[in-house]
Amino acid sequence: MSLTLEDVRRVAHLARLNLAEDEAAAYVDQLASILDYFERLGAAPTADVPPTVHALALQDVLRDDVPAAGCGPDLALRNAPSADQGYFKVPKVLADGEA
Amino acid sequence: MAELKTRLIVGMEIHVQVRTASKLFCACPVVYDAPPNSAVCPVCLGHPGTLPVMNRRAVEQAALVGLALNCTIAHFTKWDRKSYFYPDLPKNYQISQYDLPIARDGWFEFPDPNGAGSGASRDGASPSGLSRVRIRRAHLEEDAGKNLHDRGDGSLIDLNRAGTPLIEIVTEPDLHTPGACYAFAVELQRLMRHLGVSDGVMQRGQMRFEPNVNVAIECDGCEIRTPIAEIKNLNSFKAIRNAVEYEYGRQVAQWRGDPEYVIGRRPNENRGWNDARGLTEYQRPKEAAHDYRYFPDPDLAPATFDDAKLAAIRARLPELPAARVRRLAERFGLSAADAETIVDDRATADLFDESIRAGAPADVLARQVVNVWASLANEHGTTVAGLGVGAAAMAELAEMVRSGTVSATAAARIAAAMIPDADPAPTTVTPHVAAAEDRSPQALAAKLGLLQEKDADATQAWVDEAFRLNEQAVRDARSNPKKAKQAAGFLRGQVMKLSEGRADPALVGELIEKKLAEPT
Repeated sequence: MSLTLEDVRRVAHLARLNLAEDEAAAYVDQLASILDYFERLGAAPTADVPPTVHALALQDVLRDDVPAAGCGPDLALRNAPSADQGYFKVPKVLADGEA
Repeated sequence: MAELKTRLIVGMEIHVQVRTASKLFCACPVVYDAPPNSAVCPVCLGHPGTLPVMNRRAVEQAALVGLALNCTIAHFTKWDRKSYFYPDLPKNYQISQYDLPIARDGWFEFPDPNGAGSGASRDGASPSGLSRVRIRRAHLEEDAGKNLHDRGDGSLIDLNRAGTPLIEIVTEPDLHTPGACYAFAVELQRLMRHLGVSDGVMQRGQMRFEPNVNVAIECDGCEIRTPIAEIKNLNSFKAIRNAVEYEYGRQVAQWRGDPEYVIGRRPNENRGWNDARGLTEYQRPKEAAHDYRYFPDPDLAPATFDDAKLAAIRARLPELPAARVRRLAERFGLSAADAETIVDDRATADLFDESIRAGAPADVLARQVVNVWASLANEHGTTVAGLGVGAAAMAELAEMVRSGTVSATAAARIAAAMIPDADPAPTTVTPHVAAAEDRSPQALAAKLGLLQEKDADATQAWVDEAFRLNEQAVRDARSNPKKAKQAAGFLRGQVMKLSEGRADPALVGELIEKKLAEPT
């Protein structure tokens, strides 16, 4: 599996990681060897095996739609590095997300 | 430059807030306008070591929406983590659905203002005379909290909305006019309200429409397409139409100035609608799906729908609004606009049907619902059903107009007095007595003195009085051919006014004609 410095920088950006020059260079080889190892799975015969879409053997773990009080604003904000008038305060965000 | 042929292409992404009592993955109540961070817990705050547990109601409502959109419901569906780096969802991912959404491959029909099929592609006009849009998928995911910008030196975060359930609906790019986008959105809101899935109040963000817009341009025998712009922050139907219209023009103009402004060569982008300035503004390039690095959420078990479960949900599907409008129009001869007014609110439509079953004449009832009850509902800040007047009483009032027991004008006054907290007769001396009084339309008509007066002598007295008070009109009616018809109509109105709506209009017309014919 060949991996380029470009690939590493891109993946780092998607994970919002700031990598130093030497770190990025080191990760090229390390990540490539991890990916190579996973390539070995490609040798396993899976033609007759249904795809695994989830690691859990459980399904339909659901709860009834009954509300209960949460922890309240005071406790919620107690660990916040910064708070203001009941809100969490964070460095200025330029745009909304797209949830 | 050769003549341009352009065609607008719009696919819609819609987020619908599901009306549940608790959030999607924790029991925190779903609130609106509550003090900030008052409905939060370690799960929706994204604290380590917490585990989400899925809300059954939300899953069932999503399947209900899927069925109403004629989708195939997945027998097996799962949730995935989507990377998300904004502080309004502090987990750094959003729980959403990627490759196995609850619903897929459906369609939805809406009344197209430009005629069936003109604003929607492929299937064009459906057999029902509506336009059809294909639905790519509908899935269940969590909403983010709210960012408050422009508050001093930082952003303020309220996580009350974080983790509340959303259904995301994605259509195929089948809309081709701004008017079709508008009409589609209106009909989808009506559907969500009818299903009881959401109140769909756009100003509150309960339905959020994001049109994905681009343009096919035919020039010198070849066709190019502009990059896709996804338009954000639309909070009204009008904004949807205006933003799509603006974006259509903008993309064509941009391509004229930049021949490389073509999909694949220039990035797709997110744009925000600025309602005050009436234009879209560039926000950022749009990320491709693989950039979100979806993977299955190991903390949530997949959900399944077997035939029995699906049958139970399908049994909850009501008659859908488009079909209901068509039924009311066809069976009772209502105009499409009147039928839509009645069907807009499901409880009101139910009340209408119940009232018909209770014996109401459909044409009179429809007129009363659209003209009288709807405006009373408006005055009281509620829906027609919310007024608290029962089906039997409504049927009785409609029947009284049909049989001529009261006039239509009198019926409007009676209707106002039928509303449970209304004062049935503002002139009565003792409100205590009034409160306990009979609010049946028959009793109110008698009490308010609105029963139609069939007595010829009493009616004649009003006619005589009207003639005495309106000599000019009488002269015109008798001897001015240009004004005769109008003057006679005026006199009829004056008689009705003198009788306070009690006179029988047919008898009044007869007596006026007789009196006009008398020698002066």
